[in-house]
Amino acid sequence: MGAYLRRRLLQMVPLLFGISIVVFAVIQAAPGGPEGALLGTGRFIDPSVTLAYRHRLGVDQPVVVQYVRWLAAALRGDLGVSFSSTRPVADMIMERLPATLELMASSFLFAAIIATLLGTYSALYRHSTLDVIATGASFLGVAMPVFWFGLILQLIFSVKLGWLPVAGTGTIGATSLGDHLKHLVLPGLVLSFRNIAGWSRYLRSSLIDVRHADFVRTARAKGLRERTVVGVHAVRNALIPVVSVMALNVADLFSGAVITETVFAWPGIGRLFVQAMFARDYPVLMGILLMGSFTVIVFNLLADLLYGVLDPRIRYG
Amino acid sequence: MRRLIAAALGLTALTGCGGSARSSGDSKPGKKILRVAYDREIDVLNPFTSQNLVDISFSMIEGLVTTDETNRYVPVLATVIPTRENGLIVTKPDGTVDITWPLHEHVRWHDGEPFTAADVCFTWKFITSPHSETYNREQYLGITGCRTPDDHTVVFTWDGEYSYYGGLFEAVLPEHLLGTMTPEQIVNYEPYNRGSKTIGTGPFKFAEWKAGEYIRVVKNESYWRGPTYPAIDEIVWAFIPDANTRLNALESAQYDYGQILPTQVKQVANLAGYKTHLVSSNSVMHLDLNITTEHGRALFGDPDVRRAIFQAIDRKAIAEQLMEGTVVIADSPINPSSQFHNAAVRAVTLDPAGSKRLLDHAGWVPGPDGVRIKNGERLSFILLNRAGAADRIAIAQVIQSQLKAVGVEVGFETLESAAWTQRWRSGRWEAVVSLWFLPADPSLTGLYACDGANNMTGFCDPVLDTVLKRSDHTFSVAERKQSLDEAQNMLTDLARTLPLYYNVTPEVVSARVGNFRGSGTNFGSFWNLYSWTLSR
Amino acid sequence: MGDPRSASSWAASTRPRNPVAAASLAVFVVIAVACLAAPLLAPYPIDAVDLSSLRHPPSRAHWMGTDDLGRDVLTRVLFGGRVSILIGMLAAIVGTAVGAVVGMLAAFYGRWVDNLLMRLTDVAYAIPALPLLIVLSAYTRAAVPSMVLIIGLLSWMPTARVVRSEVLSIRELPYIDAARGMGAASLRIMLRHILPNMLGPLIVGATLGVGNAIMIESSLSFLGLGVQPPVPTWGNMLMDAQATMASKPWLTAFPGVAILVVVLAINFIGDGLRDALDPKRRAN
Repeated sequence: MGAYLRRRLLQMVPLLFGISIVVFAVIQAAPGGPEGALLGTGRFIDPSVTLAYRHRLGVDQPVVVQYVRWLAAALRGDLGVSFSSTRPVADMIMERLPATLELMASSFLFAAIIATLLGTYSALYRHSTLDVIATGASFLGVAMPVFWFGLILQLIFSVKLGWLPVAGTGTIGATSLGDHLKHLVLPGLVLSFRNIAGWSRYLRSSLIDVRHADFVRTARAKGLRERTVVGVHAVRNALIPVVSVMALNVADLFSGAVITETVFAWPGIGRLFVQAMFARDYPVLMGILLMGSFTVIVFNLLADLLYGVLDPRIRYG
Repeated sequence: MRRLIAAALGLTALTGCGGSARSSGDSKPGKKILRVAYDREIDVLNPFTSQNLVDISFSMIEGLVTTDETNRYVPVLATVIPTRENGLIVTKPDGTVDITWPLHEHVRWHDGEPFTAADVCFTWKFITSPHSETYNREQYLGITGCRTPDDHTVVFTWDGEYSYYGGLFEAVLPEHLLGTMTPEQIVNYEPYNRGSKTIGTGPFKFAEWKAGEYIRVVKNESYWRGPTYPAIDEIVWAFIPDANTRLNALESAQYDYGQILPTQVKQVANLAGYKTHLVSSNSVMHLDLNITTEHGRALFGDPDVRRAIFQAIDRKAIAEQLMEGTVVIADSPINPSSQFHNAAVRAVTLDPAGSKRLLDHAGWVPGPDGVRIKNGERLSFILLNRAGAADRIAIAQVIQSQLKAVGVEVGFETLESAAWTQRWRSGRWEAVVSLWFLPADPSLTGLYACDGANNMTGFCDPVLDTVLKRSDHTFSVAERKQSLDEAQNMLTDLARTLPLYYNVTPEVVSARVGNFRGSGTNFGSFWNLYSWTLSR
Repeated sequence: MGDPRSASSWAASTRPRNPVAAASLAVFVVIAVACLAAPLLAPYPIDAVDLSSLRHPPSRAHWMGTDDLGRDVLTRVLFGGRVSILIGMLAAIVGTAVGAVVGMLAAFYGRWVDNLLMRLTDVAYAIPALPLLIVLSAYTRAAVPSMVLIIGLLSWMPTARVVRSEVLSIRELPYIDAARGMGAASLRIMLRHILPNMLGPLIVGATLGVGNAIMIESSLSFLGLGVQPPVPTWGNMLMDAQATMASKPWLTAFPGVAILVVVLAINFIGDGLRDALDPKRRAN
C-alpha cells in the first residue's frame, strides 16, 4: 500500500507538468488578449496605454519565454500576479476556495443523503409508485440545464414564496450561521441534483445484488428483522462501490460549480474563472486550471484507495 | 461552518488562509445601509487604472469635477470650473494658456492628512507618465506644467486651447501616500488597489472587500461638506453578475438599487416600494461599416451604398418594438442631455423604396437570388457579432432581415468577447453593431477624425477633420457647439455611421432612497452619493 | 459537466425488456424525426423576423408564441432541435470514435504507444472539463462544427480507458491468438475481431454522450459561448429568453422542456441498451 501510494504520488509530477504545458499553450494561443478588458468597455482608449499595459504584464514577450518564467516561479510556489487585480493569484484562489469547497461539500452531502434514502427505498420497494416517481424526479436533475433549474428555484422559493434568499452567502448586516445556511440551500441543492439520480440508481442496483449475498442471508437466518438486515448489513456493503463512484464525481462538481456560482452569485472559484477568461487574465486561469486538475487527480487517487480500504479483497501492488 | 465542512472532507490545509481584506468598521444593526446589487466585480480601486467604469471608487475618491444628470461638469474639490468669463483662463502672448483651479479648503484625506494643490500636480505627473495606463492619458498631454501658488490653488499651463480641459482630473491621488513611488509601482501597489490603503477625500471610506461577494464602504465622519453629509452610514456593493439573478434579488426586496435589462423593465413596473429610472446613458448603439478591407471598400466606398443601407433600417421598430420603447432613437452620437447635442441634426429617414432606387442608380442590380450584383461582386457582407451580447445580436438580426428586403445580404461571424474586441480594434471586419461610451465631454475627434485613435473604419474626410479639430481647440462654448453641430450634420451627410439609439440603463431604486438623480456618464448615477438619503 | 463516467453509474438499470426504454425510444424518434423534418413541418420560415408581433404568448397562429424578434417559437424549437440533436449525436460520435481509436491503439501496440496515449488520456482527464471548454470556445466561431469538435474532443477519455481494458482482455482470447497465428495483420484483427466485440459498450457510451453533449451546449450558451444566433439551439433559445423568464414563460418553457424530454429519453434509452447488450446485467 505504501509503495503503491508513493508510486501514484510520483506519477503526479510529470502529469502536472504535462497539464501545465497543455493548459498554458491553450490559454495563450486563444485569440484576444488581456488588453481586451480595457478596450472592450466602449471607452475611447489611447493606444499608448494598451502598449504600456501589455508591456507591464509581460505578454509582449514570446510565449516560450513567458512559459519558462511562469514555470520557474511556479516551481518556487509563486503562481504569479493577476493581470486585472494586480494581486497574487494564490491569494485570490485561497480567498475563493472555501466558498467553492463549501458549496461542493454541501451539495455532496445533500446528494449522498437523498441518494442513500432514495436508493434504499427503491431497492426495497422496486417498481412501487413512489419508486417510479422519486426516480423520475431525480432524473430531472440530470436532464435539466443547471442555470434554468436554478432560476426556476429562485423564482419559486425566493420571489414567490419568500422562503429563501436569491443569491450571495449572507444577508447584508447579518452574521448568523442560520442566515448563511439559508443562502446555501438553493445552490447546494441545484449542484447536488446532478448526482442524486446517479448515486441512487447505483446504490439501488448494488443493493439488489447484495440482498442475495450470503452474509445477508446469514443475518436473516439469525432471525434479525428485515429492517435491521437491510439497514445495517445490506446498505453498508452496497455502499462500497457507490463510495468510490462518489469520490470520482466530486471532481465533476468543480465543473458544475462554474454555472451554479454564477447563477447564485456565490463567491467561488468557478465565477473567478469565468471572469478571468473574459479578461484573459492568464495567471489566474493557469492557477485555477492547475488547481482544478490537481483536485481531480487527488480525488481519482482517493477513489482508488477508498475502494481498497472498503473492499478488503482488493490489494495494491 | 465552512471550515467545519471542509475539515470533514479532509481539506483543512487548503482553507487555512481564506478571508477578506478588512481594515475598519463593522456592520451593526440599526445602521442605514444602502444595499446595491452591482452587475460585476471590479478589478482595482485605483480610478485611473481600473478597467471597469468606476462608480464604486468614486464613492471614496473625489476629483476636481464630476458630471451631473444633465451631462455637465460640476465642481467637487474645485470651488468653481475655470472659464474665460470668470477670469481663471488666461491666454498668454506666446499662445500658452494658464488655467487656474481654486480648491476647497479644509479638505482632508481619509487618514487625516490635508488635501492640497500639490496632490493635484502629483496626480497630473502620474497620469502623463508612460506607465500610468490611464485610458484617456493623451488628453492630459497638452498640459506642460503645474504650479501651486498656494495650498488651495493649482495652475496648469497648456500649450494651446483644449476645450475638454474642464472634464479632466476625475480623481486625485494622495501624494503623501504614493509620492515616493514610481508610476509603475503605483499601478501595482496592492494596498491602494485593494482597499486597505485606498484613501480619498470622498463621503465614504473603504471598509471591506470580500472577494467575489461585496465591497463595503462606511460613512466618512469628517467629510469636508460638513456633518450633514453623507446621510447614509454604509454602502454594500454586492456583486451579482447574472441579470436575471439581479432581477430576482430586487423583486424579493433584498436590495435598494440595481441595474436591469431594458427588456425586464415591464416586469418591475408594478414592483411595490421601487421606482425604475430609465437613465439615458452616454453610449450610442450604432452600425459601423468599414472600408479598410478590399471587399469593404468595394461595397462601402460609395457613399450612396452606405446611404441606401442606412435608409433601409427601421430604427423606430428597433427602439420601440425590440427594445420595448425603453430607448430613444439616436440621430447623432452625442446624447440629447448634452448641451452639445444638435437638436436639429439632419437625420436618416426610413425609406426602403429610396434605398432600392439609390442602389439601382449606383449600378447594383438584383441578381438571380435577389442579392444585388455589380461587376461580379455581390452586395453581401459579414457583420461581426460579439458572442453573448444578446441586444446587439438581436439588432443584427433585424438589420439582416431588413437589408434582405432591399437586396443586400448580411452574414454573421460571431466571436467570443475578448476575441471580438481584438478583431474589432484591429479593423479587420466589414460591419459591426457596437457601442461607444462617450465621456460627458463630447469630443468626437478620436472616433471620426482620419487619425482618430478609435477610428478603425478607414474613413477619412479632410473637411470633417478640420471641423472636429476646431471643436477641440476653443474655450468658447458657443464656438464649440457650432463646430460640433456642423460635425453631427456631416456625419449624416457623409453616411459615416448609423446611430441606432441611445442606450439606457434601467435602474431600479428603492422608494427609501432620496436624492437619486441619475447620470449616464462614466461617473454613473452615484455622482451625488454624498447627498443620498435612506429612510427606514 | 457530467461525463459518461458519471452517467454510467446511474444508468445501471436492472430490468430486462425495459418498457421505459422502449417508450423513450419512441419519444426520441418522434421528436428527432419532427426536428429533422423541420423545413417541412415548421409553420413559418426560420428567419421570419416580424417586429410587429414580438413576444406574443401562444395563440392559434403561433402555438408556442413568438420570440423577441417576432419569430415563431414552434418553428425555432423544431429547427433548434435539429441543431441540438445534431450536435449531440456528432459530438458523441467524435468522442466515441476518438476514444475507441486511442484505446485500441494503446492496447494493441502496448509499450511506449500505450504509455504515451494513456498519459495523454490522464492529462486530458485531469483538466476540469467545463473550464477547459470555456477556454476552447474562445477559439471557435461559436458555430456548429466547432462546437461538435470541442465537445467531442473533450469526452473521449472514458471511452479510451474502457476500450483499452476491454481490448487487453479480448486480446488474450483464443480466437484472437488463432487469427494472429494465421498471420492476420494487426489492423485487420482489430477491425474484424476485436471491434465487433466492443460495439455494445461503445453504443451505450455514445448514446449517453448524446444527452451529455446537449447539456454541455446549453451550459456554454448560458455563458454566451454556445452556438450563436441566428442559428437556434435549444440551449441558446433558453438562454436568450431567461431574462424574461417570469414575465414571458413560454419563451423558456418550450426549449427547456424539449431539452428535458430529449435528454431524459436518451438516458433511458442508454439504460435499456445497456441491459440488452450486457448479458451480466440481464441476469439480475
